[in-house]
Amino acid sequence: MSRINAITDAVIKPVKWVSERPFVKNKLCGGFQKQNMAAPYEKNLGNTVMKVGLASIVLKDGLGCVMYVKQSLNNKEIPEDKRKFVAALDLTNGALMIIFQILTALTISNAVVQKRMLNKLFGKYLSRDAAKTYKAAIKETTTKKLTGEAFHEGFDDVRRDLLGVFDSVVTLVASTIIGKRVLVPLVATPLADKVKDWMNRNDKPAEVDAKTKNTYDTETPSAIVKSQNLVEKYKAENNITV
Amino acid sequence: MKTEKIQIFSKNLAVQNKPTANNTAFTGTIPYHRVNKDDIYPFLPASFRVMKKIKNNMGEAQNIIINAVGTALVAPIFIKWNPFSKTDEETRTYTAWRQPVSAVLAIITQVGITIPFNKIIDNAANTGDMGVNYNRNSFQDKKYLAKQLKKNHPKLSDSKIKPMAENLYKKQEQIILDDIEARNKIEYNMRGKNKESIGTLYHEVVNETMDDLIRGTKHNLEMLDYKSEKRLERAQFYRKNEDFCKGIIAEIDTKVNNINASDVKEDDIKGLTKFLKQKIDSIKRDKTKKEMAKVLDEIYVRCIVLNDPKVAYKEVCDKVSRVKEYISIDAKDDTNLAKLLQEKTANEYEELSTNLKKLREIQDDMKKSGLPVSKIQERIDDFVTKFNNEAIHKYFTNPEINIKTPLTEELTTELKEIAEKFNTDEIIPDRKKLLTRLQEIVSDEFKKVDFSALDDYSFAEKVLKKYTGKIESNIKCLKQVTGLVVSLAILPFTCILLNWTYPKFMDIFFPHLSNQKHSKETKKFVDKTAENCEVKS
Repeated sequence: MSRINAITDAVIKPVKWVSERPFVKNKLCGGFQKQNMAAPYEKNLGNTVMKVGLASIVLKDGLGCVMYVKQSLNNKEIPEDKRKFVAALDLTNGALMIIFQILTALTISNAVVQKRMLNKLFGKYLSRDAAKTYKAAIKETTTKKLTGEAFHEGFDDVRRDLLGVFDSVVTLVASTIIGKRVLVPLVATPLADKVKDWMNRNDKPAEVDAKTKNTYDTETPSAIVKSQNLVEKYKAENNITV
Repeated sequence: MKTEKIQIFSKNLAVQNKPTANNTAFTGTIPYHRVNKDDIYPFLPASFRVMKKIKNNMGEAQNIIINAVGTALVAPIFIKWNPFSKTDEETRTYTAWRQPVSAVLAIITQVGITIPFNKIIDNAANTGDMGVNYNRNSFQDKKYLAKQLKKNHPKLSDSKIKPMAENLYKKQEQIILDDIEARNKIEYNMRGKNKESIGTLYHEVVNETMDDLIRGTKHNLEMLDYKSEKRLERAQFYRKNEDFCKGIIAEIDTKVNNINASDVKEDDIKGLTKFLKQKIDSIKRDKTKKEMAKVLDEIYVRCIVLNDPKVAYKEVCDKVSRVKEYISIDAKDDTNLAKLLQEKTANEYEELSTNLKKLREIQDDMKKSGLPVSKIQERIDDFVTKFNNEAIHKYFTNPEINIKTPLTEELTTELKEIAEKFNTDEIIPDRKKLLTRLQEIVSDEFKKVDFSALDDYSFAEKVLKKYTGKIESNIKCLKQVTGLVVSLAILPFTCILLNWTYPKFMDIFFPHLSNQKHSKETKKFVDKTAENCEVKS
């Protein structure tokens, strides 16, 4: 038990230090509050949440990509003929993943776009008239006391809830499954071919010692080679030109 | 003309827009029962309930697992069988296997490090190990409370623990509320230290709550013009297209009347929905009749959003009769309507702008002298609540009625009326005084009436909501920031781990792909023989 407490203390100390930095405490937390606690009618909420998300993608995936590529290229345990392709795929996969996630954050995962998408898909069920109908239904069936303001308070929470679920589901399906796992590898693999070729651009052909050079022609049978040589020799001796 | 209710303050205050000469100003806020979002969900369409279920069951671990399953099962397919790649299939297969290996490692590192890390932060916020901006020790979350209860009472079942945790949570909230109202402060606990005030954070929270009220009122002011413009637009449309509108609504009315009101079935509503949809589609084509399509859409929505056909039918009937009424009034003369709307808007405008002015005065006084929340409440009550109910007035001003007063038939009826008021949007004055009074005279018959509504939603409660919301948001932000730092810190390890595991995994399970055609012993032998046979120059 004391060991667990010791681990917790060791983790909490740096976390507390980070939490009390003015940049985190005022700027980032302030930005999060503005977006997380806004009334439904409020606009211009800033984009701190998105910025932190994007910074996280670029830093994590960017650094990860560089490290994976470097380590793959230097990993002697990966067969030499496959090493460069593995590294190339790490590079294209990583780069595309970053680009794709930035695009996703700016489009389908963007709060404004999501709100519009939710309204487009379920707008009828979340409209003012729908709200009035739900309210009437609640009044009919529940013994709880209900006023317009109380209902709208609850309905705003439902709306916020649904937006959150919608965000998770859309991000999961469009970004995590289709985007990151289907589109990115689909494009990254052929791109990796090109990157591998680019990596090989300066490779010289393997140097072979003259003494151990294999002069055996594997493509033409030796009988044919021999007869061709004899014909050439005969032509040269008799000055025959064709 | 339908009396529209307007919001004075964004969520907690409302005024019924029926100014009369007899209005008497009383202190007190508007009581109402706080509706939980969970009370609304059962009435929403099934798809929403499914979405809610997904949200409840989608924790961090589930997200990581879905992500990893995608990496392990989907991504390799598009690498191995990629139609656009020219690299040989063997290399692609070898590379594709990197994905499942990295997915398993991601689960191990993320479930093993990221999730416990977030749990530690959550726990620290609950136990009071975090600073004032991230400390939820005074309103420990229900999950934590349930865990503690389970620890202390292991024999208790989960079904018993859940309500106990909820009660405890409410008690915590009540303590904070009492502190705000009586002592104008919020206290928090730091582990190992005595309770202390949250200090400047409290003033920040109170000021921001007042800012919210002012912003809400300003928004409502801005909406006034918009609302009356829309209303006028529709009135003009009704006037210009009187016969058309009357014809359409008569058709719908006939359709609605054909339904047996005492036994409304799901199929009846389905039939009505289909009919409305067809009508909307046919009207929509004509751009000049778009407004009517909007009106029909409002009726249509009432058909589709509910599972209960009876309530849906009632709502449709109400809406249809309102539309009929509006058409007949508006079609006559819209100048009169414009005048009425102008007057109404002017009245509302005056009321709202007075409120805004008074709220700003309170805000100024708050800045100058730091008004306590109880004083703020008093001053808001002063100008917000209007009272026009003789029955209630009689009861809370009549000192002769008390708990010993026999329940006569007349008294019972009147008490019932009072109880009924709590079910409506009616404004009830001086909620605390009235509550005390009702509790004094209340008999068993009225014990089932939930008078807690009277104590709901004071300014203090708004302050509490702001405070807890702020702390929760801060914890969320901190988790994201530290999550990023942790991910970056463990990145070199995950990278090394993958590069160490991946070739070994391939050697063991796919030796033909990793050029490991022979066992290690045989490979050694082959290498040695090749070395011996090498031509030495």
